[in-house]
Amino acid sequence: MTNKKSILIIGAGPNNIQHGDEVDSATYQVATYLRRAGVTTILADNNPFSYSLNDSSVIDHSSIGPLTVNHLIELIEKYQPRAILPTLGNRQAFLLTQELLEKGILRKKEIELLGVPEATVRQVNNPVLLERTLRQMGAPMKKIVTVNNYPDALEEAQRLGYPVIIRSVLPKITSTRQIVHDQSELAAAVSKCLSQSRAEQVYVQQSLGGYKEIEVVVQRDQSGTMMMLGMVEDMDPIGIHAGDSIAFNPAQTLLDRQIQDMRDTAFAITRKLRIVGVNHVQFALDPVNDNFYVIKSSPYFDRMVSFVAQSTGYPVAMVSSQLYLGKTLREIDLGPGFAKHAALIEPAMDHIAARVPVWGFSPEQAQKQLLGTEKKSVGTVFGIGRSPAEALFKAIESRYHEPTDFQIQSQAKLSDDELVDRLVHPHAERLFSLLEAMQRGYTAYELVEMTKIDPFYFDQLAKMKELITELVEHPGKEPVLAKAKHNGLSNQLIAKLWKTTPKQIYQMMQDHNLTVKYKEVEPSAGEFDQHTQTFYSAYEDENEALTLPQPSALFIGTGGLRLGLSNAGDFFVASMMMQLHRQKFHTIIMNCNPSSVTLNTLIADKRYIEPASAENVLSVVEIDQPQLIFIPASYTNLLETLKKYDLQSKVITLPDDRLGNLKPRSNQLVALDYLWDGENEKFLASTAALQSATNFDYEMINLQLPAAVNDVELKKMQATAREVVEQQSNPGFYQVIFEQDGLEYKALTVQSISLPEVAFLSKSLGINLPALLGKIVSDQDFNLTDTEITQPKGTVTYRATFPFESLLMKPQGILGPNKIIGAEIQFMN
Amino acid sequence: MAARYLIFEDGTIFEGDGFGSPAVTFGEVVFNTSMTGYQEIITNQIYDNQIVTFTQPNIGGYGIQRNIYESIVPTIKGVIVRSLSNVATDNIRRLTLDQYLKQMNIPGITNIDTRAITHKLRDAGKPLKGSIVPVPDDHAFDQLHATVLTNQQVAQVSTPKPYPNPGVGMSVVVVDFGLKNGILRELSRRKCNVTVLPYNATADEILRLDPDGVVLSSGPGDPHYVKSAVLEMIRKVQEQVPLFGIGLGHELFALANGAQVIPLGVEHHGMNHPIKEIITDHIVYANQSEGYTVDWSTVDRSKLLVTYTDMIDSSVQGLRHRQFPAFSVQFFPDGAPGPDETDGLFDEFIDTMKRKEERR
Repeated sequence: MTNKKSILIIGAGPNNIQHGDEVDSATYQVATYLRRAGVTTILADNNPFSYSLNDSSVIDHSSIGPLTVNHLIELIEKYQPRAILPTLGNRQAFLLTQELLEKGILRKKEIELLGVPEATVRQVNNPVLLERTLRQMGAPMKKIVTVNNYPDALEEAQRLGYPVIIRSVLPKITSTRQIVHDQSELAAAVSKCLSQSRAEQVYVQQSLGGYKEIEVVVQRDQSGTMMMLGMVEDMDPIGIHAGDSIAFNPAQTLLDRQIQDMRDTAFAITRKLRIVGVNHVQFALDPVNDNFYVIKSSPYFDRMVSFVAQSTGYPVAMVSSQLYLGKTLREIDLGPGFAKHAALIEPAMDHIAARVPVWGFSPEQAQKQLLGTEKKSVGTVFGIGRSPAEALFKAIESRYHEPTDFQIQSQAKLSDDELVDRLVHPHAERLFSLLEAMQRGYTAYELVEMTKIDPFYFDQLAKMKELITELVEHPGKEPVLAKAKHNGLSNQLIAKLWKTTPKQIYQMMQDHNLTVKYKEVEPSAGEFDQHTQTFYSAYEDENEALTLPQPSALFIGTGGLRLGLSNAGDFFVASMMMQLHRQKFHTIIMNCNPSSVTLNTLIADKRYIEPASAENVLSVVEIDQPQLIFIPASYTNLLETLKKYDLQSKVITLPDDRLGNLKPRSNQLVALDYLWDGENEKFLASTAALQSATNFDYEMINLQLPAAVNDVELKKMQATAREVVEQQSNPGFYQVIFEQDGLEYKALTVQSISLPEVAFLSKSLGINLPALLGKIVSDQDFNLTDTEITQPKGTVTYRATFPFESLLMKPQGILGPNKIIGAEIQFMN
Repeated sequence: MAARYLIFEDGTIFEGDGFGSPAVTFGEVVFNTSMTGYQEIITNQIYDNQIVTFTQPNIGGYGIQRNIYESIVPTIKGVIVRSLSNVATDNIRRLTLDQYLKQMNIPGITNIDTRAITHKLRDAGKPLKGSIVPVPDDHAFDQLHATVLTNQQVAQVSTPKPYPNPGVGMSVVVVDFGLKNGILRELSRRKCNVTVLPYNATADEILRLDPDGVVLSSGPGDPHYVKSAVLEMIRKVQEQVPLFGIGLGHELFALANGAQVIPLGVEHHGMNHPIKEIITDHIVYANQSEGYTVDWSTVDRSKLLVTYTDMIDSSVQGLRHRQFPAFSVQFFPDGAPGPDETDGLFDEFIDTMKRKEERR
């Protein structure tokens, strides 16, 4: 392994609609294990919310800079890496790697490419090339032909069967894609696409719309051993983006022969592309005749890989890191807690994981948002249960900031025609439309016809609906309560249906001795005595979660990514956890975001996959008796509810959502940022909005650090700000906002620093600020005044990115910090 | 669904809800960790005398399909699963799993802690007898204690009469020890002209049909209880024609060639163990269902070669005769359910038969 002494990891850049925190989480794990193997790790990224970038114990050289080929070449010259890893930076890293290959620098410097060979990088970047390879190897691909006139198009369309898709070959302006449902629509589509084709040709291709979408994650080592890690089934058919669909692991409606055929094909592709590590292969399965088609092969870490890893308990990233170093699967030891050769045991699940999307828009907008082939969701959460319905109930509950009410009034108001329209043209709240339709007496087979959803799911929804009806009809009855808990309903939902409070339900459970048990997410389904310390609740016989040794601290994760917070929440929570971990605290996380870095075994000693609700927090407190509980401030209900209980643990609120509410100003605003430990304050930096001609809001959209304020003014402002900060009761990050008034600055207000901004400050100052806060709240001997803050040499800028273009939506109102999906950071000289 | 109980000899009681047949059932309780193919598992005759715990949390998601039975009269004693789906997707028969189990008189129990049961079975380290009953009273336990499970399982499940499965290719005799349809399916894919004979067919009866090769099928139970005449048959047949043993057929092949077969403390039913093909060093996955295993130390190396081994428990998974064109595997190369990475063994069998043919 001497040839892999140092590895350059290409990061993914700002979060966007296609990727979120899963790459950060995978990077952290892979880099940790590379580092443990004695490798020097170099990470190139410009995502200010990245946790990995801020952890020098894992990344030797955190290089914040633009993700361009020139910057990468600079890094190569500077650090002389022996290998480069493109699988942790999404598609963009593959594009950059190809540019590096084309410039010849990798060959010249004899830099090894890890994970995928050169040819595969080109294929992943060029769908046409990949399609050709896959066809040549005999993988089933959708049928596609090129024609240059209407009669030929007609003949091909009839041969393929309607609907077909007509596309221009080499389109002139924008690519046009027309779905043709019958012959009457064909002529117009062909002539339109012909006219837009520079080659005067069109593609006639088979439509896969309405087929089942299946996602397979497989893994291969350099000796050619392959194994399947998971097969996930999307509830929604092709036509709705896989990332927007409700998904289940393991697949529930597939026959063994279908599963084996797709497994074989995924293996064949992975072998052909000579991938070392993971490969995510997507399939379309025609439910009528078992025919299936390969849609896509993604040999890199993405949200599906995270979901499979978290839902099976198989440590995918850890194993990949070893594969990159040239180990074979049979040489990998998963460590204590696992059976011999466990790396080679294909994960078996005795639980079901349901993943549901988190939308980037309000419930009202969600009612209007049509789902389609473009991804609309910004985050994802999952629930684990022992039945499909239980997993789904928990997953829905996990979307903390979105409606979880199963009797959504707006659905009931729809006319029959409107409802049918919703079924055929699904909206973001489609699950509730389906339930409403079942309520109105549509049969499963009618709904199958309209929605192309497998009848299995209507059986599950019927069970859910019946249970809700049973609850409504029998308020206060213990057997129904026991049944509801067995099926994963939250106290919150039961309380709503029984028109009482969750506390009453909690009390009733105690009275009837209905106690929650925890089962371990363990990848052998109980065959081996293995332990992952990842748990989910179940109202069954056996409990597997044992009390952690003291001291311990419980953290509530920020859940699914949402606009405004992006993965700054994960950064913050993970940083604090790691700090407490270093101070010998046993760290416990409760989270429901499969991509979150906080769910890493390296950061959390124990993990609970649960929605952030009072009943779950109380149960965990009972088991683990943590001294400290950290809860993000946006969980207002949870915080309120917990106040009603006599907790022995100290609750500390994390300021995840922005608290300030400044009206637009006509003058320049400057913020002075502080860390306050309750006794001393530490000046961190001055920040200001990047100059804009129209408004001078201090908005966390575009920032520069430091603000352009002269030293004399700054001194005066600091004197004022210190006094304001010293009045704060709780330790934390505070900023005092000043407004320019002539030559002077006047203090306007003080507010908590938002988490995205804390992440930005951390990167700018090269210090992990949440970790400092972690020390303040948990270490009596820590003295904040001893901490040195070094200002960066030049200016650092922060530019937020928004999802609206990807969402094909018009932004509503001002592009405020609550609408950001990601951001990039840059050091200017 | 009415309340039902799974009881064990040691007094343990698990509560659940009944489905399928309401009959009281007794059997050895085992667990299967496969995540696919509940219909194939339930209809595999290897589960004669056994109650199967599915660790897979939910089954029934696609009802009963007309073309994936592994036997037409399943002999499984009961089904245990955490969650049951009530779906019928086969447009022709529209049969749910629950309806099917009722028709076949197979009891089931659901809404039960299958993970706890699995842990119990794993930790026991020996086969555990259990019963699914409507009331877990003394009477139920008395009956369970008094139950003696037959050891003449092969005689019970094997076909009483020969029958053909005609094809236009090589002529193959399948000796039925509790045949799994997957074997016939694989031979049929390769156009074989198959005759299925009862388990007690003699070498003369087999060779009289002048087969190109003989398959010893999989089947249930302890190989030591299969009549010793069967071992005699194997010894004679292997000298004459290519032989391929699967599952119980593999165990009998081993016994016939002097190796010992020993019971596993905990039966292994699943499809996720890495299996190493020794000669190539390749790792494959296959459907494994075994209560017994060949004792590696008793394999006569001058006679037999170990071809496959399970990397988790280091068990013998395949044997080959050094002198005769005869080989066997402990796992199921026909899948159904399970990976088909080892279905090439059927091609190897065909090739062996062809080579033998050419030499004639």
